Amino acid sequence: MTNPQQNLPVNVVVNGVRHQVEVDPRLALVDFLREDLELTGTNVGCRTGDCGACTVTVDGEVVKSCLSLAVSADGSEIRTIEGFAGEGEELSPIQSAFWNEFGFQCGYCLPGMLFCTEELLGENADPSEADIRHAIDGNLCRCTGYHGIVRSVQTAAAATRTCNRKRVSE
Amino acid sequence: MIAHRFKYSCPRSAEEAAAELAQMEGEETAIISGGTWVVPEMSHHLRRPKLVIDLKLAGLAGVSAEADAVVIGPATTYTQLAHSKHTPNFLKKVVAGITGGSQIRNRGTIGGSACYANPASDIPGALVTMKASLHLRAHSSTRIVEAADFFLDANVTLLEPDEILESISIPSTNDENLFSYAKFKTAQGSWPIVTIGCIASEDGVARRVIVGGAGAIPFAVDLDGQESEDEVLQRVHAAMRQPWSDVFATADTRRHIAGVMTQRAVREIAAAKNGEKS
Ligand SMILES: Cc1cc2nc3c(=O)[nH]c(=O)nc-3n(C[C@H](O)[C@H](O)[C@H](O)COP(=O)(O)OP(=O)(O)OC[C@H]3O[C@@H](n4cnc5c(N)ncnc54)[C@H](O)[C@@H]3O)c2cc1C
Repeated sequence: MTNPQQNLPVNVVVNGVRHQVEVDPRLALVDFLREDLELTGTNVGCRTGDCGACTVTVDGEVVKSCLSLAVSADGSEIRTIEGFAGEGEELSPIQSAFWNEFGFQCGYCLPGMLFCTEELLGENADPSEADIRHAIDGNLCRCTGYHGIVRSVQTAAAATRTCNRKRVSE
Repeated sequence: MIAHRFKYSCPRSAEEAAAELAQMEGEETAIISGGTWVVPEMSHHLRRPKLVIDLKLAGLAGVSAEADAVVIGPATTYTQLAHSKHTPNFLKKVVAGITGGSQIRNRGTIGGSACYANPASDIPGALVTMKASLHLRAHSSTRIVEAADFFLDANVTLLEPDEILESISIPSTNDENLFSYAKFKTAQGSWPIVTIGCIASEDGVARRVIVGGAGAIPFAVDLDGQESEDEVLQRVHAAMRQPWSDVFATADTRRHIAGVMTQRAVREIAAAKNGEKS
């Protein structure tokens, strides 16, 4: 067992960059990302797991980063919204769809909305409106009333399908 | 940042975790299975453990099929349960309806929900419905308790402070029975107000209904299949001993909904027996 005051080593890869640091075990993952790594695209909303604004992926799984300790993430690979677009892309096709469809206003909920869209489209290339609403239902948006978001996901799905078709025919 | 200081540890097995708990001599501890309850509670200063045990390396996640039971590790997430071929169908139906988004289903675990024993959660009622047994481990002893005996009150279980939940087994005989599961929620994304697990015997008659969310702990209503709908309602109300009230619904509302939902569950079983789509 460790001493209570002692910082603990944490070795993580965040958006492709390795960080070997020592952190206070009391630090939530979201605060580690925002304050220690200055990746402030991950937002803090409720700290109860309800709003989804702090969503990131840990080892490929979509999670709410206010619900874990930074020390628990030792050894894992994390993606934040800053690393959402692929290398060389300014915006990914999903982000472009949200942009073009006015899928967000203030943007606070985007980490959850984007990562949940990505997860959905990875499993289901042609989701129904019900599938989309189910996929985003762990995220609260207080601006748009969700219609624009649903439209954005539909557009992103269509764009992804076209993209995949192109790839197949090439 | 969480205000109070604690020791953080990642034991490699359930035995190691129990050994650490044994040294705490009644001091408060917290176990991180998925962390979805415990981390926010610490962040909001509602819980001030001296020791935090993280189960991530303890090898307690997974579903396996044994001769007469399906054995589930307490740290198995809802997503893992949804994807495992061994997960009983009834439990698959339950976990598909857990809200909070895939973020919660990817992290929240069956054992965390069982040990937290929140009256409005799906898992306590589901475990009682499936006649699950829970394997508890202390440093120098183990014991097996039935789910129906495990839940004592709202957020209170049989777990002693030095014990951990090591595994959950669900008898395979469940496969032979017909189940239905339904819950009442005020909105798609909200917590269940009442959950109903219904077991029918091989003859397709609803014999046992487990009501969750309406009382502080899940309770069973036994039926002989001959009752009128009014009698079903009376049975439910008579079986309710520890009514539960919270910000989402008063005890009276829950009592009413429990009756109506039970009637529906019994109807659904009858429809399934007659080959109708439920
Ligand atoms: C937004 C949101 C929506 C939700 N919606 C639902 C819903 O629709 N239905 C539902 O049922 N639940 C719901 N939940 C609750 C969710 O089910 C639980 O948060 C989750 O399953 C708890 O598991 P965990 O592993 O994260 O628990 P943890 O936070 O890791 O642990 C919970 C408690 O159990 C103890 N514990 C954990 N594992 C063990 C063990 N092996 N032995 C002894 N003690 C242990 C811990 O000390 C702690 O007190 C929701 C939660 C959120 C945040």
